[in-house]
Amino acid sequence: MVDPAIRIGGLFSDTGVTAAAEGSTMRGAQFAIQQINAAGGVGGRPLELITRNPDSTPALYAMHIESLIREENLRFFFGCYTSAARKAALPVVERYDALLMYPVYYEGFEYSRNIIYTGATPNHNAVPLGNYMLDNFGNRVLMIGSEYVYPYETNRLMSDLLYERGGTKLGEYYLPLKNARPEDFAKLMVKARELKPSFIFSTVVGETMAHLYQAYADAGFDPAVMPIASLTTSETDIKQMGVHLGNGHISAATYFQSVDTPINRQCIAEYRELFGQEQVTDRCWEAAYFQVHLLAKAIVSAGSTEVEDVLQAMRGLEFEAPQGRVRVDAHNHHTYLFSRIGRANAQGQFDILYESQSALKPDPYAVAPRLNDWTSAAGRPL
Amino acid sequence: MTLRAAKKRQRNDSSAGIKDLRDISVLVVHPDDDDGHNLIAQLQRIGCQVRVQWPIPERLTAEVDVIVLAVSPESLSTNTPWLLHASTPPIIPVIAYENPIIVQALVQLNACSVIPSPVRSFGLLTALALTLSQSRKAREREKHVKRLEGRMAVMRTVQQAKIILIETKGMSEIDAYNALRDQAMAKREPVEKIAEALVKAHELFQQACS
Repeated sequence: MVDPAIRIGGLFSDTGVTAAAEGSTMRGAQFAIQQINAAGGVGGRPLELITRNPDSTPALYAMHIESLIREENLRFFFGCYTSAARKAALPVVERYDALLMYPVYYEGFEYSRNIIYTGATPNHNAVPLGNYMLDNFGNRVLMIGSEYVYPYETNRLMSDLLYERGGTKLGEYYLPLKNARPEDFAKLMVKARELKPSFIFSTVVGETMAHLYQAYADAGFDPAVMPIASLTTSETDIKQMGVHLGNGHISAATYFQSVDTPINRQCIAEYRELFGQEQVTDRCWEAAYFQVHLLAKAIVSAGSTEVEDVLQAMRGLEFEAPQGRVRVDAHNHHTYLFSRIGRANAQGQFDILYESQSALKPDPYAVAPRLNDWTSAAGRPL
Repeated sequence: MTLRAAKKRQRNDSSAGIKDLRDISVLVVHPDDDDGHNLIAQLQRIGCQVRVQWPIPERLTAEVDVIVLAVSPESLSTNTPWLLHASTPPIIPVIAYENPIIVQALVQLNACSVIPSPVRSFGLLTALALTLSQSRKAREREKHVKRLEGRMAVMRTVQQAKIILIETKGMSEIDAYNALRDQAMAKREPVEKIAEALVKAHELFQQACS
């Protein structure tokens, strides 16, 4: 008799403002599950993903997790995208002692016994990007973000960094996550023409990201002189908005599809074999992918599917991910990850300008950036 | 502090208001969700007068003793300056985020206790008691400071008047003071009134001469 499947829940929106990015994380998780099952499953048991569509609406993430726990008896979950979604899910996974694996970079200042965070904390992406831009483009910054906690908090950190280095903040503008119109972004480009920033710092997420890059192109600015530096713009976003719009702009992430390692090359080849040659990968796809492998490894090493046993095995667990060797921090449940900065090219891929030599310790409670973070990262410009 | 010491302190402390908790009126400014329901239910269990309002009103219309307020990244951008006025009742924030932007907002709101989300019944009574007692103490401190400032001003005027008498009449400091006091008694006015009149008259006189 075949062992029954280990059933896990996936919270990935097919609809709503963050649907495109969540689709990519879902494919990352599905791909890892197919790999694991093809190799004989987890201790002989296949993984089975049960997905729900929370429609990019925080309350629905919580509702679906609760119903999957109560009606389907699930304990392990992947997904959530914005911090608002994760915040809504947090009390539910704590109340039922479930485990949520969260694959997205976020602003930090959270720890839950019942969540493992596999995306970047600001010391992996925001601080290195800020330093890189200030070193290479100048210190007059115009900040544009979506109206929610991640942009607020990231801009606070970036402002600190800017002031410590004697820079000038030319403005800090927020546009609604939903329904920001192309003309709203066009107005900000008029501001940019007046203020002449050294670069635009963007934390615009979701569907309206394309409006920003379109408005920039329409204004006729040159990315070689005054680029958009973004923590959020990925290969998937660039594919969606058109590679010509992304070309020349800068982003920071733990992973780019262009990471040149045998493991990443093989991973992408296998992924495209299964999901189609046109597929691109990105930072959240990669985190969603390796966190399924982390869970499988933890279940095997715990020899149990009890949440407490799996959590114990998870702490300190390492995995050879496409970005490099990552490790779950035993104390803060975030992950040691690589730090990279890339410039988008004409193919919608990132030419890597900088990368850390090893995975950096996650620092979710860093109130102020330390200036030596940059050098202590022991990175090398490429 | 031992329990006995705590009891003793409480007896001596006029601001100990834990017994008033049942009489206070609480305004809950919170969305209609699990946290909001838990807050209201627990406040009613405690026995407070509870009123609910959402979204955050543009101004405070009713008289309340304390406000329990949902503070979220979204609510930070709403324009509600009355929350920061000195006359606004004390605020107990309910927070789901512990980010620096939220903590900065709590500092601005002058909060002295906080309810973390998800809201549990435990902790609300303590937060109410501490917040009320701290705000009473702060009000009393402010009154005290105002009184002291007033007294300081009086002393300064009397001092100025004495110096005028010393310089123009060659009096000793004690004689100068006695002169002011005698005038005050004769005219049935406080000493500072006489001192004030003298200082003013002296100023006018000097202006006229210059």
